[in-house]
Amino acid sequence: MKVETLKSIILVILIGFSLLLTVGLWYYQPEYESAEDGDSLIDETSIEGEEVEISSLIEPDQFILHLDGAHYSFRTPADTRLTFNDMRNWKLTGLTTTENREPQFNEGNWVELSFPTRIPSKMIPELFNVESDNEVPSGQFNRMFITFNTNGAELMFASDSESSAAFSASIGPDDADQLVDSYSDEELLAEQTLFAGDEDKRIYIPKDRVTVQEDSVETARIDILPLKNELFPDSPVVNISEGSTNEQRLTDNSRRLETLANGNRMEYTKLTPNTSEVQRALNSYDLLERSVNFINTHEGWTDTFRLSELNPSNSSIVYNMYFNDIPLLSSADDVHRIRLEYDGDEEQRYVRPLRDFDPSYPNPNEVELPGGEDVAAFLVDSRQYNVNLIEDIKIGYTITPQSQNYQQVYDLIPVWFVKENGNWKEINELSSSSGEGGVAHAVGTN
Amino acid sequence: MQWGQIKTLFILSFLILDLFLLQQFLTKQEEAQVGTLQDSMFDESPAENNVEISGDVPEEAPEVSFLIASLSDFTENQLEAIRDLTDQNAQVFNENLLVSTLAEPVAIEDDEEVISEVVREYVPFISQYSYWGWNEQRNKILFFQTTNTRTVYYNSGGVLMVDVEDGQMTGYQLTQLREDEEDSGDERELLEPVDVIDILYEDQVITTGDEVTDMKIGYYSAATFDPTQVFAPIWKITVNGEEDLFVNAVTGEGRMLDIDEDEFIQATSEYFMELMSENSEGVISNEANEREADNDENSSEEEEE
Repeated sequence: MKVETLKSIILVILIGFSLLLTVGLWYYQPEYESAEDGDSLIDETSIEGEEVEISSLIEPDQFILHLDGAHYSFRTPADTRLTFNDMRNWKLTGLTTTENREPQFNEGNWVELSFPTRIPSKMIPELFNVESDNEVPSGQFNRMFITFNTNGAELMFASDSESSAAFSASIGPDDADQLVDSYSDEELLAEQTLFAGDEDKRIYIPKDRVTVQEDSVETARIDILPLKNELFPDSPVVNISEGSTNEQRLTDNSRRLETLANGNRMEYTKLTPNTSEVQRALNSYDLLERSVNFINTHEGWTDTFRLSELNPSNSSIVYNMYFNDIPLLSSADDVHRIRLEYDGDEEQRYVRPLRDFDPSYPNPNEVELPGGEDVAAFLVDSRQYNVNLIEDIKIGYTITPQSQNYQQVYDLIPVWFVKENGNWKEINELSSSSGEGGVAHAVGTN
Repeated sequence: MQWGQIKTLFILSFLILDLFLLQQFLTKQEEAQVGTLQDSMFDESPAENNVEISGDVPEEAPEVSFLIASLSDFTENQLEAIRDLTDQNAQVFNENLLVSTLAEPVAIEDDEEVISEVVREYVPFISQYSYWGWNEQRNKILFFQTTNTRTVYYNSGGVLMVDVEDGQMTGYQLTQLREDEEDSGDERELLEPVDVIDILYEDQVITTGDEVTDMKIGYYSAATFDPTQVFAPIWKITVNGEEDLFVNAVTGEGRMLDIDEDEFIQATSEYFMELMSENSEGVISNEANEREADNDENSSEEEEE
């Protein structure tokens, strides 16, 4: 009996001890985690766009096929993108710097691509598959020439900058054949004309009238709060709202975030200059990489953007919005581009739209625009434009609110644009609301 | 008996359970301790043996909150004091900028004591401001406002700028900041003085042989012309008793602030000019007030007649 009593006592003690430990564990746990909680409470920093790879922001804006002395391009810009996407799988061999700055055109056909801005050569291995252990030679390019030979094709990456070297590489016959196949269907091609016969600027525009898809987009406001969480570290921020509630200004001791244009655009500025003497301006590749990473951190790619300007001399970079592979080149509140400026390796200025466009709204309209020959003739004759100052000519979208629709629906209207001094200007004289009689109107003004 | 066997079984299983729980409890406790241990780990200071640190430099950083303050209108009492100013033409623009020209310029010397004494005679509520320095280049003497016993450095919203011509004080401009009471925020841990000196040493702003003679916590905001500003606590570091450096004292920032005094005076003067031209109506003046008072009396007398 005594043994049994002892066993009972031991059992009771053990049960009691286990209860005590359990309670102790429970009690200890919440205290430990609540301390963590306060620190790890994560504020929303995503504006619900996407994260992207750097290479996906780079697309050629001109794709010219020189076939038997005539110039062609794809009728629809989507085909340009698809063809370039196939080219991304190319295997490049023997990538080196070359003395030749002009490609050796043989009798046969050759292909020319141009990019909206100078791209650092370090991007070549990210755009294509480069089979080389050597370091990529440094430099920039904004043009690509492809000449065919018996073993495939020779590629040449050239720049319009005098100081930059050119690069050459080769692709195999399979890749070359695949490129030839992509433009074998003549139905897909449209003949191009070289603007003002200028072989240096190399602006090609479609010779004949072009039909371009109109589009409509619904828009939604992008909440500023995640951006505030992202751009301001853990410091108090004062919020000053002036006038309309959509325009506000957030400031702390060294940063400012303003919403402008009735809340359609935001501008972030760092108020204190960087004093560290060690810091230097970023090179073009670092600028590209850093800006993309920065926008990725808050999932800031809310629409389709592409690299349009990259300027390491003033540490600025611009991404332009695209719809249906056509750039949106003008908007009332300047909501069509993201601009970033750097001070050393810090974001000095960040301007971006606070509008998210949803292109799923149906709009079956098509607009017929005057052909390149008429455009060129107009520009040459016009007193408004100086042919020597024209940097580029392109079809782009303008955006206008749909008047009868109270929901936030906007129409994207394709028009001809001219680039002068780095700015895109709509050629008003050539636009036509009906899509008809654009030329007649243009001729009428002359 | 069966019951006895069950008890033995229970004792064994509870013993195992207890051991397991005890082990769990101990690991948990250990983890928590490791966490705090890692926090307090410190590296060797690179500046430690190369830079002299004076005894006036505090050993530890105080906990200081951010300051939210606005450019403040003068209170009725202050306006009253301004109206009573004598030997000068004092005007208040926009109810928050006091601009005054002395009737007779007063001679001053480049000596803190003398300047403070002279200025005290002519400038109202001078106790809010502390002497900063005489900028010979721009002919201005600067006083910075003190809030929470700490100085707000280089801010157009809380400054007393004394005009000097040929060694004589000719006038002054004055603005004041007032702390917004609603949200001053939590007190923050700041960078320790040793860490700040390391930052400056690594940036090669101070080098071997330099002496850090003083370090003080103050406030600074880069948004100097905003009506409401957030002020971050900053360290003012005096090197060799002559050069002042400023470092953002918030942990994780630790950045040297590039403040150009000439530029500050220039921008502030322009800002004051703008305020004056935009608010040329409704100016409160000590002289005009006297006249106004006279006029009022006259007009009331006239009315009576």
